Parts: sequence; C-alpha cells; structure tokens
Amino acid sequence: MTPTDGEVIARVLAGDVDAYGIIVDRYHGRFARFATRMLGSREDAEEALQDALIRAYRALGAYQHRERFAAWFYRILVNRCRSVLAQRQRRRAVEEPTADEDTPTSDAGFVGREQATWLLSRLPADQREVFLLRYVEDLSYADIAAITGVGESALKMRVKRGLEQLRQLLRQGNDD
Amino acid sequence: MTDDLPPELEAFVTGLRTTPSANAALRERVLASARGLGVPRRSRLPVPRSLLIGLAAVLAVLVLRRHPEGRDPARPVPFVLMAPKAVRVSIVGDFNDWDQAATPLQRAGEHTWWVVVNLPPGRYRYSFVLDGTHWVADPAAPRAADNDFGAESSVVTILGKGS
Repeated sequence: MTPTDGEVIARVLAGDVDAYGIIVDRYHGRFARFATRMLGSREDAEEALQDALIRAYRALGAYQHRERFAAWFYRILVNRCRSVLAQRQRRRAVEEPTADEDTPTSDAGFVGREQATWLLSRLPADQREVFLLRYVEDLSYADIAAITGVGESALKMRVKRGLEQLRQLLRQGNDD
Repeated sequence: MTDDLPPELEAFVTGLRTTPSANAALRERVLASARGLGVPRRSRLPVPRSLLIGLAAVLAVLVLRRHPEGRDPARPVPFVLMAPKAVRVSIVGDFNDWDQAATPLQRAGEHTWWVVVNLPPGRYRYSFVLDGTHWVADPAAPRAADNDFGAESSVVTILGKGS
C-alpha cells in the first residue's frame, strides 16, 4: 500500500531520513513543471526546486498539517521562484523576450511546447504565476489564494488579464 | 481540463502540462543534504496559552538588552500587529518557510496581536496572515521590494555581531 504524505513524514521524523526520497519522487514532476514554466529556465528551476525541497525538509518537524504537504510546499516553491525572478531583475542579467523577437510558429499553429513556453514568457510574472497554478496545476482559487497570499478577486482579475493577453498573442501568431 | 479555460487556449495549456522526467541527480543532492542535516527537529510540545504569553513577554524584554558576546547569535524579535477584526493571526516568512501553522500570534488586548520569533542575523521577508487567507505587510516595517506579486510583505534585518 502506498504510504500517505503524513506517514512518510512520520518515518522521516522517526529517523528514516531517506524516506524523504518518497516525497521527492512523488512530487518532483509537478513541482519541476511549475518551476520550469515559471522561470523559463530548466537550470534555474532545478536550483529553486532543490532549495525549496531542502527548506521544506528542515521545517518538516514544525509542519503540522502533514497530509497537506503539496499545498504547503507550493508556498515555499512559489516564494523561491519569486526570489529568483527578483534577483534577475536586480542584476539585470536576464534576457527577457523583446518586442521584436521572432514569434516561434509552426504549421500546426500554437500547439507545441516551444510555442506555449514562448507565449507564457510574454506574460508578466504575477499573471504567469496564477495562470500556471490555475490551469496547469489545476488548483482552486481558494488554494491559490492560500499559496500566493493574494485575494481571490485579485487573482481572478489577473487571470482575466492574462487570458486576454494570451488570446491576443495567439491571434497575432496565427495571423503571421 | 479546468472548466473555465477558453477553448482556444486548451491546446496552449496542453503544451505546458508535460512534466519533466525524474531527476536522479537532484534527488540525490536533496537526500545528501537531508542526511547532512540529520532528522528534523519535531515541533514544540503544546504549552498553555498563558505560559506562551508570559514567555513572549520575557523574550520581548530580552530584545532590549545587549546580546552577550560569544553566545548563540539568534535573538528574540517581537512582531506586533493591530488587527481588531481578526479571529486568528499568524506570521509567515523566510524563517518558517511560509507555513501559516508554524508561528501563530497571541492576542494581547482587544486589538493587538504579537509574537516573538528567535532569529539569527540575516534578512527576512515576512507577512502577517489574517484568518488564514488575508496577507498583510507589517505597517511598522519596510516593504520587501523583491516579493511583490500583490501579496504585500515586509522585511526585517537582524544585524550580526559587530554589525
């Protein structure tokens, strides 16, 4: 029988440190996906995810709602991603897509991962964050509010703006 | 697929939903760090609320004193918020991995909430969470410029010895 998150965390706290690998294996895919889409860089995403996993491990003993590990971990990861983006801004080292950058297109339209990633990179970070949590990670607005600290009405406004911007980009891409 | 997603964006989202493959190197680095850190410390035993308030008061007094040389550099830092309508208040930040359950504030009087957190020297971003959903920055502290996605947060810097 597959152990629950709470059972795995109990094993870790009882001394079986390597049991944390079960948590890493269980959630790596979705968390790595979110970080990669959010940061647009596999290397940055891997570093943010690793850092978040270690932070979560250190805090396991104090964390009380052990069956809600994923929701709690999203908060840590979201904040790590925000920090990475803020550091990029401060250092001005990131090369954000520019207005005249070529739009990746294909005969099939905007359906490929490359095009999707490019489109996503055009959204402001706050819209990108909530868009990913809502539509790629399938979280409710209540859960996203708890993760991001942004009220539900503000989240819905960001989603609305993000969707509108994506529609425009899609239309532009399909017209080219 | 989420039901409020416009149909013309479904293909776009599908393109984003592929998950990265397992990363054995990352897994091993995380576990190596975990082994190095040892077993995480368990949460504190439940203690009576009155004892918590008394302990917070003692620690708040200690913060006014100069920290002795050569001791653990962590020092008690009081956080206070006026939130008369809140039913519960907690503080989340870099120091507790943004866990709303980790650091609840105690009510002191009708309007005031407070807690004392032991922090080593460093820079910490934090927010107060009212009733589990509403995040607010600390009106008595500088705003964190690097964490503003609409969720206001503040920053506190604890200086080290000789700073």
